[in-house]
Amino acid sequence: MWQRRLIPVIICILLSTMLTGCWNRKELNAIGIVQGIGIDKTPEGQIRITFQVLKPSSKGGGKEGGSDKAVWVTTSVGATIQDTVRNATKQSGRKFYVGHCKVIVIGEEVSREGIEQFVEIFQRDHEFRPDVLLFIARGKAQDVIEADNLQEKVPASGIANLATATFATSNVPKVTLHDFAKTLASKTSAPFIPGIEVVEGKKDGKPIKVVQIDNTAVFKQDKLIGWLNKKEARGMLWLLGKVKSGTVVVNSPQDETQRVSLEIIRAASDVDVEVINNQIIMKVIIKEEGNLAEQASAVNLFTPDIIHELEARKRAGIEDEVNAALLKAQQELDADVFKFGEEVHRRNPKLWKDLKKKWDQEFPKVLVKLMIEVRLNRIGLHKRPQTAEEEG
Amino acid sequence: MLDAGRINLRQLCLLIFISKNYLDLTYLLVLTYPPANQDVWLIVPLHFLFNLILMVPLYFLWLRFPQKTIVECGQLIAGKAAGLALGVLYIWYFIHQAALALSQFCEFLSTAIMPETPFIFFAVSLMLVSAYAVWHGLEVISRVAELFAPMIIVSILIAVLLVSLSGNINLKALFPMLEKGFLPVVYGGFLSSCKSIELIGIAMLLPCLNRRKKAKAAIVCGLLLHSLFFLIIALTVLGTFGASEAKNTVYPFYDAIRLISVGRFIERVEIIYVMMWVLSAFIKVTLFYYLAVFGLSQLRLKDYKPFVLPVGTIIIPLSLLVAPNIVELLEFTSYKIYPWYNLLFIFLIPAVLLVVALIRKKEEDTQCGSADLSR
Repeated sequence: MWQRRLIPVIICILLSTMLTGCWNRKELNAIGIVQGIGIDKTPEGQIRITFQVLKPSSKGGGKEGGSDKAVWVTTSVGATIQDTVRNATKQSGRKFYVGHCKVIVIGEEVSREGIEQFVEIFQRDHEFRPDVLLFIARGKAQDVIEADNLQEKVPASGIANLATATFATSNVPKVTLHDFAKTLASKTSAPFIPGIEVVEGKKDGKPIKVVQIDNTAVFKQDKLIGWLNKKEARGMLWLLGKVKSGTVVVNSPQDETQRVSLEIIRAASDVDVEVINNQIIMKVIIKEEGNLAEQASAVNLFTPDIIHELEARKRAGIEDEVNAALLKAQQELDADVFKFGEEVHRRNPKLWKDLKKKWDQEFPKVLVKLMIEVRLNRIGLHKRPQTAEEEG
Repeated sequence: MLDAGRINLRQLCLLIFISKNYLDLTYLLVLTYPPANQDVWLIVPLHFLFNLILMVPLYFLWLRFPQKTIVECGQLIAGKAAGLALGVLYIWYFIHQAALALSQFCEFLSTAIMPETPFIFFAVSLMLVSAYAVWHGLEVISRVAELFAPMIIVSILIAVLLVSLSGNINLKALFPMLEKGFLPVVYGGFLSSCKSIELIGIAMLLPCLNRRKKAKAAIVCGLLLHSLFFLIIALTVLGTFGASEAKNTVYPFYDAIRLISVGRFIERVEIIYVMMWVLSAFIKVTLFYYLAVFGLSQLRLKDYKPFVLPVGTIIIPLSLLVAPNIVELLEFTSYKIYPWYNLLFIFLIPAVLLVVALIRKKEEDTQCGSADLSR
């Protein structure tokens, strides 16, 4: 009888040996945690990757705004991304672990040749996260990864925070690998990725290099074809219904030399498709709600008429941004960043069958009918400037 | 006939659910079935209907032979030699399905979680536990299923809730509906229901049911429960990726869970998924392993326990053979081959047996003693 009891015991012991983990264990002191990756090409056509790797000893060193960086930046060259990552061990005593990589920066020059070849491995490899943020460097990605950050000890997390903060102005989009792949898979929509550039900063009186997020790179398939400035980028985000916050600045109705800031609280868009005589008309309804945030003019805006006037000016301001985006995307770039093609597909699948192949020729001809509904609800805690006349 | 133990209606229902849900959790093969666009989720209700239709011959066969599994029925209806051949065929089928399920389990772990661990290591660890469960028989397996089912159900619901809280689901991706018309969807529903190998499992388990009157309700409940979760998973995946990108992913639901980020706080919760998936894999592999062993014992013999280890040692190398690499595994289980292979076993053979039984007027009571009926 005791033999029969022994069997479960032996099985339990055998099974418990598997709980310790096995081949794929990664000890923390044997890996280099990569925080950011910058991809360029060497003049010979090889891939050059710049890694930003955590320095374990100096992370959380306690010194406020410490002088030494918590990361170590290294570069390696190879034929493919995988090859390059492996080559990096020539300089690193620790094998690179990319599971915590926060940002991928791709150089402008290589982006013009197509970036799918670079992001493919990030979707295939199980270590990478699909929510890693993508950026296109104006210039070389290496400079961006090497640049300092004045707020964060780890510049790559600084870039990630910068993206979230800049996104609040709705002047640049926030794009993850998943977003990019999803747009690319639709075949007709044009993906976009925020741009990042190196600018001069100052620390302790000495000039240093810091990064800033500006402009938006627009792709045709996976090739960079042009840039949207911040006005055009917000116009695009209005159409996509992705504006979440930000400010619209208009002239003050009573005093045209001064400005009024109108804060965006929430916004949404709805797109419908209409076809009249083979002419595709996109009917876009943009709904926006906001508050009066600031007025520079010393006049009384605290009357219903003026609030209506401000609403009209805000509507005009939004329309201006949208038109700028439409002009650039349709006439200059011929890139469907607004996902109009997908909308035509959704609303009119029969028509789409013919259009799908020649969408590039059709997209610039698409007419857009804008309906912008704006509301100015609240004015904050203060009614009017102290020097303003009470009766408008 | 040996006494295999009794299972109750709820256990049968949950065994069907877990076993059928297994493939949808990982590979969600339905995405590539015709019509292979945003309409694939419409396949789900049709999948359920076709499953009921496919179940008809097996069910009526069981009504005529309430004490016999399909392996025994074969011998009674088709005569000794042909019946034996049929039995061997079915046992091969069960072994093959167990090996496929094992292979799917190991492929996922080696692709997504631990790429450097040898395939055989996963296979042997799961098979050891399965063999232990099979040794203890059907009652143990079904009670384990009862224990695991709530965990699996709750994990799926939590995962789907987190995915939708992350704001990744956009149901606009489901439109336009019926882009290629209704027929491809019906065809897809038919093909997808043909991969319901559990139907034959039900037919093997029905004689072990303790309350026969409500068998129909248990079957319908199990299939309905599966269809519900099938729909939830399909909608989550389509909403997250859109049809064209979803088709590109090897493990769609897993990828959707990888995207979870609720307030930049709840992140990287894939392990919920791995948990529910390992539990399902255990039930699926063990069920078909058990059916193979059980069927083998019904050919002539009195006990199934001597077959547990030999069959296990066949399944492990077979799991390596059925899928030398994941591309071949996915090719075999795609809609081109797999449904037709299954259709033979879950529908055609039972239908022929039923017709022959009707013509030759064979019924259980005329053939075997009533000793088995005493309970």
